[in-house]
Amino acid sequence: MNSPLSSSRSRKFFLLMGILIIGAALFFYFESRSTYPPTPQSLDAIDKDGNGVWDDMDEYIRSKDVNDREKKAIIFYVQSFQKVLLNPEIGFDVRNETVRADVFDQGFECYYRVFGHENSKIKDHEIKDELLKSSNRVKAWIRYNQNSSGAILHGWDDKIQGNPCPF
Amino acid sequence: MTSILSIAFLLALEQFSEVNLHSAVECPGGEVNSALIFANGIFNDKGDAKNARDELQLKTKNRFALYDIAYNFNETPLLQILQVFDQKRRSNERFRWSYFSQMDGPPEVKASIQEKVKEMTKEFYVRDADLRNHVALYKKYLNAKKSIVIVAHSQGNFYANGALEYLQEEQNENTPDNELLNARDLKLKIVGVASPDSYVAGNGSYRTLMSDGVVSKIANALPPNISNQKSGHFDHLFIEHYLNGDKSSPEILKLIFEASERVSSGAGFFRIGYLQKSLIPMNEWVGEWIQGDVENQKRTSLTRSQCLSIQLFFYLGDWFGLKCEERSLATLRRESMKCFEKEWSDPKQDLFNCNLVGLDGLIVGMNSPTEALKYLDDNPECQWNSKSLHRELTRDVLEQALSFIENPIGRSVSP
Repeated sequence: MNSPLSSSRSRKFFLLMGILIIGAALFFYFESRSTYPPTPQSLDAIDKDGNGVWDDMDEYIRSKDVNDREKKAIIFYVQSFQKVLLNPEIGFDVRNETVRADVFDQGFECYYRVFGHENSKIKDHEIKDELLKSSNRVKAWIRYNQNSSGAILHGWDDKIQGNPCPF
Repeated sequence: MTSILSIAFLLALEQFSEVNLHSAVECPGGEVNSALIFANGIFNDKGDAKNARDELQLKTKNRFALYDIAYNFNETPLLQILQVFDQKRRSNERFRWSYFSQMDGPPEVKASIQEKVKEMTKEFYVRDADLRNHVALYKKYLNAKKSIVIVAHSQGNFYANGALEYLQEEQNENTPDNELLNARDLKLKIVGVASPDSYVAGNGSYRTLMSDGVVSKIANALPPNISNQKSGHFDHLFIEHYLNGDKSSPEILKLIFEASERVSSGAGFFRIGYLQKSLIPMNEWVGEWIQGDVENQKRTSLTRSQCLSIQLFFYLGDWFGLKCEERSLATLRRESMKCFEKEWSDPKQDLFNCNLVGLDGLIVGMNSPTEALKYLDDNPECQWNSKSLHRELTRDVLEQALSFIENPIGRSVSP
């Protein structure tokens, strides 16, 4: 039989846990909003050579042993990713069905058209990990995904949308 | 003689059942007119969800008409977890009431419980904007006569269950603007993967790994029912642990194809998976022709070329051993032309090896040899003998029959 003392202790424990969970939830909630909207400064979006790819990613792309076409696919994917990080509101476009696919969808589709899903040299998440190496970039990415939530993501249809790769 | 024929008939039947077995493995089934929709789990960003959808497309060999994602990604990570717990709590409560509503009891009590279930189902729908979006998509597809198989992973199961239950409620209310929702059976099935929920709506199936370290921590989740030889970290990821598992992968694919068979419309004469896509319109036309005759209780007369087209089409049942990809209009064209040039156009020929028009009295139909014969026997204009064959079966008639097979929709049967 439980003593009144232990029952009071467990009540306190649950109360404390509840406060902690709610506190943490509120912290994350407001924390995720505090830096919104993202800016080129907050995302460290420096492109000194003006090639449309952020400098830290330039270095990453250079280090990859890929052919010309594959390099173009990586660059296009990175550029499309950068666009949604700078403007997570793009996520609403597919969500509200104003477009069938947004810039990220196109970059992703093009990437796998070139690399293929089976035995691809570099998986998209490796590039994603490289891009999302600051907390502000992660927050912008989460925001984009939140804005996309509820969307119906259709497969790419060449007949309607054409070739996803612009090169 | 009769016994020889009986043996031949039985052999044909035996071969026929082998074809069916073969087609169940090799041929697309209801999925040719179905959408496969992936409902993603917690913490899946768009890239993850797209990879999962693409992997499903690869594993199902691109047989479904469409591959979409009903995407959800809510709030910050911790709030996502809280959302899952809230969904779980509400789902459990609804399931409990739903269970009570099936029990015997005073009608007024049952009615009030059913009302409670209905309220809860609608509450899910009203509260969750993502769910509303997903339901809108499902309705769009169902109204366009597409059936749906949802593969729901983890949290996606709450969304899939919520959507199906909401659609069922609408169906019960007999909403006039939803023609297909009012059909007797909702053409939507769920295949649950790593489901944290305590049920799969609409009697769907599920697979959860014994070693799934996430679902095993969730109270009242569906019990695990499969294990892979190799286990990984937490064993909860859709592609890595489930779709690439040595046991779980074929099991999940099996459930997907079974679900697609169950939701397929079944229109047509042959089972939908038996034929290559090019012959599906003709299959539907023949199905309607037979159905119309059953309803009118008399045979609609056919032109000679229409007759020939049906007979050629029934010939497909005789293609034992060929894969569904080869049971196509192109093969039918090639084979019938071969017969035409070799035997039918030769007036001296009176022994026919090509039985495409049933001269030897055995047209092997798909559903059963006798069934195919029955439909043609009732139409005297579909009877051929060696004289009429040489006289009437010209290249033009054959071309007409083949072009009818190619595009029968919208062409009425001539009186």
